[in-house]
Amino acid sequence: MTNTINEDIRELNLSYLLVAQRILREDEVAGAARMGIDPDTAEILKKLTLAQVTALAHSHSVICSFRLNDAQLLTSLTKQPFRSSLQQARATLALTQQMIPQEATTSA
Amino acid sequence: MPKEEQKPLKPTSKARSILQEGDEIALAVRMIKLGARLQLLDKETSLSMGRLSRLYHEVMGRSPSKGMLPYSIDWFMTWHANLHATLFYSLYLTIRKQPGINKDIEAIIRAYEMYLEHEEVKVDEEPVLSFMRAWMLTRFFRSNALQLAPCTSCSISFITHKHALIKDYKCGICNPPIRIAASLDKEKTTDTESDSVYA
Repeated sequence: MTNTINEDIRELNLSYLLVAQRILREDEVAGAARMGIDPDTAEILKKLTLAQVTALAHSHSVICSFRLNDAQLLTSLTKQPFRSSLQQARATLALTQQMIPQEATTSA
Repeated sequence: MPKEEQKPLKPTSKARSILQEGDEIALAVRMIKLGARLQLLDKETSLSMGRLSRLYHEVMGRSPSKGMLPYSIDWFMTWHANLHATLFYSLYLTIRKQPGINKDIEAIIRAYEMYLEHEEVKVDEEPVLSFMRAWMLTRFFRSNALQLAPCTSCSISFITHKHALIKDYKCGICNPPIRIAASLDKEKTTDTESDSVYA
């Protein structure tokens, strides 16, 4: 028997939160950078209990957002089939740069 | 070429606590393992050159290489170097702001370690961007010689000269040199063109 969409969403939310906690607990610095979330949020997320996580996951909306939520960016990352290692590098660039304040790019 | 002037001696270890010295040695060891040379170790720790040399020998099993650092800013503009340097620097800028990071060199180390994890880096025997070049890169940015400019085609930012015209800038991937263009192609696989999970 296959899941309903709502069940899929709940599973997605739960998986996301559990993996997020694992990422943050293992290495807070690299973890927050890779997840693209603020340090304050990361701190809270890390400490949520399983009960709190399950409650958060129990939603009809998807709790995580798509970080490549920009038409130009998504097109440029997907239209040309580069070798996978290059795609990985470009994705890292696109995602990490989302978290950099604009001023930092033009001054040290 | 004029010889390097004698540097003033560093304060002796008696002036620092043993714990501090232990921390500095641990930091130096991490950097040596990543490829740091004496000039970097000298700038980033207060350990004496003699001590650093000995430490280097203990960690690497050989003497540190001597001589001036040959790195120029133009190197960072070549295709491969530009991609790798931008990758490292983007990671560095993200990590630098984090509360767990209280020294700049710590951000450089963590960013470099994350850089090394990427397949594009692992593909080569030696990483295109060495730890020394990564460190020099942050210094070049601090001295205002470089900036990050967005590509007008893919919107991802890459390292360019500080006052380069960026109105029509295209990155090395959107506008590759001819010799590079062929090697950018997707790896040939035997998979069918469209795989659907629900097929």
